[in-house]
Amino acid sequence: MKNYRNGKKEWKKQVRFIPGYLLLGIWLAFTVVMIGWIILASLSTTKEIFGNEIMSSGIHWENYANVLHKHKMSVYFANSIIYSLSGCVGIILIASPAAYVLSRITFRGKPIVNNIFVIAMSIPSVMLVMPLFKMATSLGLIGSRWTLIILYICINVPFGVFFLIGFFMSLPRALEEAAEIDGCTPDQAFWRIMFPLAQPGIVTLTIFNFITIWNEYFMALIFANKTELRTVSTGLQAIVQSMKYSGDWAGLFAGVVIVFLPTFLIYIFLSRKIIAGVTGGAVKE
Amino acid sequence: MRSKKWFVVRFLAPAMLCLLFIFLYPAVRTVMMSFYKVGFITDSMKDWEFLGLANYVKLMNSPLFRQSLWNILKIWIGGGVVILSLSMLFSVIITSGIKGKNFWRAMLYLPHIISSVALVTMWMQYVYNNQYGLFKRLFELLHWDAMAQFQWTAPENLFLAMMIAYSYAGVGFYMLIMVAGIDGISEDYYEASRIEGAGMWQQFRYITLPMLKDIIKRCIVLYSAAAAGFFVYSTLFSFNTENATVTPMVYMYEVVFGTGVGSSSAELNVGAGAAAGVLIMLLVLIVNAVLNRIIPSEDAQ
Repeated sequence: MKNYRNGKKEWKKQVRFIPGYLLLGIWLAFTVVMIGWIILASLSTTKEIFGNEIMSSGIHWENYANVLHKHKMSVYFANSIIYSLSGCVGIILIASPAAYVLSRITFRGKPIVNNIFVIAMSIPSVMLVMPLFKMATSLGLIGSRWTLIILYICINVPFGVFFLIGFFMSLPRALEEAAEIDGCTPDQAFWRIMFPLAQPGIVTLTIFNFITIWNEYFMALIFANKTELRTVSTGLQAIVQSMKYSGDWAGLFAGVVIVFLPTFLIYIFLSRKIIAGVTGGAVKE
Repeated sequence: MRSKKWFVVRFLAPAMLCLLFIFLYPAVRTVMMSFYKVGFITDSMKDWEFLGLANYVKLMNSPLFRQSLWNILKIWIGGGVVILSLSMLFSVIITSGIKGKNFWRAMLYLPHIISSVALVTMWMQYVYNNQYGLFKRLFELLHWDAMAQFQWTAPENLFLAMMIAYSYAGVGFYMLIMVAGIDGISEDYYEASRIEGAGMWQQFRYITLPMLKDIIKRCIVLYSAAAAGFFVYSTLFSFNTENATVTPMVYMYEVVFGTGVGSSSAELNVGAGAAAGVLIMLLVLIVNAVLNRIIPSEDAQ
């Protein structure tokens, strides 16, 4: 910053970074070519893809129509929207009251509760899926969308609580005191005052949860193994398998674009918020 | 006082129920299952047959499971060294004062927010393709004919191909954490060392690296947990459980939920899958304990 007024000195300083720029540039070029080619290929024909002449006969939107209808991508897409949105809402409704209590109120057994949350977050999902499958079967939930909705909410609650505790801690205590004087019950104070004030944290957490649930694969593979229930991830996997026989590569790439576009667009617009959330969540205790 | 207690209970109850029913109870049940012979996953507890450690012994004698442990070791050490060194390198470059810090940081993290299935499909069906693939075209352009002929998706090269794709996606996350760590180091240290005539390497070796000790440890812990649960890339890179890419998690999935890979899983039962899960968790715990011994935390009293 001190070299600001001296353009020549600044330029000289940047020369030192050429190897760094070069490395980053290679990485960038690879990323752009890979994603760019996939998008162009999804608008070409399979023959053009193999003939090294993508986009030579104009834009072929029919690949998208094909993959959406013939290969049921529209069903998977709708499912993923349902799972992600209901998951996001459910997580906030369960995690934010718990985070509020844990950040504000001292009660007997609080350290134990805190520890249970930390332990839960470190249990890998392999340890959970078998009994969960048995539970879902006993409750008659296999073959219903509710299984994944409930699982996606519950699995992500511990991280949500952990993430939101920091946000509630940063809000001034005077607010609840004022609310109490005005005659608010603790419930009203939370839902009307504290919850709206924690919005920056809640929005960041929701973006994270949406991306996590949208991209989730392991649970979806086990609990939604039916065409009508599949998510975009397991659905795309099924499409890749079937494309090996039908040979519709352009349609395959259209499927890839449909799966990555929603989170990609969210990232383009909100990358700053997402990155701040990752570093805040992982670096702080 | 009474109303406060009721308030705490009401606000905590839903989250606590989640923990009990979705985390703690299943985890305990899985540990128990690993000591029993369980024919079907839906069998109730009274149909289980106590086996002691027999499931673990059987697992250790299974060549496929031994291969999966060997693979996870290669992924953990090989992938770990490559991914964490690349993240370190990029985080140093990004914080060195180059222009467009935020852009580069966002670009490196991008693969992390894309669905793994979509990303792997891009690699398998485009980058590694042996007819129109990106690598084939690139190496032809450079006239590296041997490289252009390289069959990335042949069984013997599949592991390498998988690790390249996995590293590409993984680097960004650890880079973000390290950049945040480096940003937290006071500029004064670098200023003072510059006056003393320290070069870039010396600054890295004597300032950045020691100051990042805790951050690096955290990255290793996070990477170890991720490697232990290595599943998506493995299943997507081999459609049938192939020795080259099988991991304990894939093994467990095949034993318990698989459509039957055939002979190797038929003899085993769901209890063996549970034992595989328990072993995965034990591995992570051991790694964390060892790390805590080697790199003691500064703030831990």
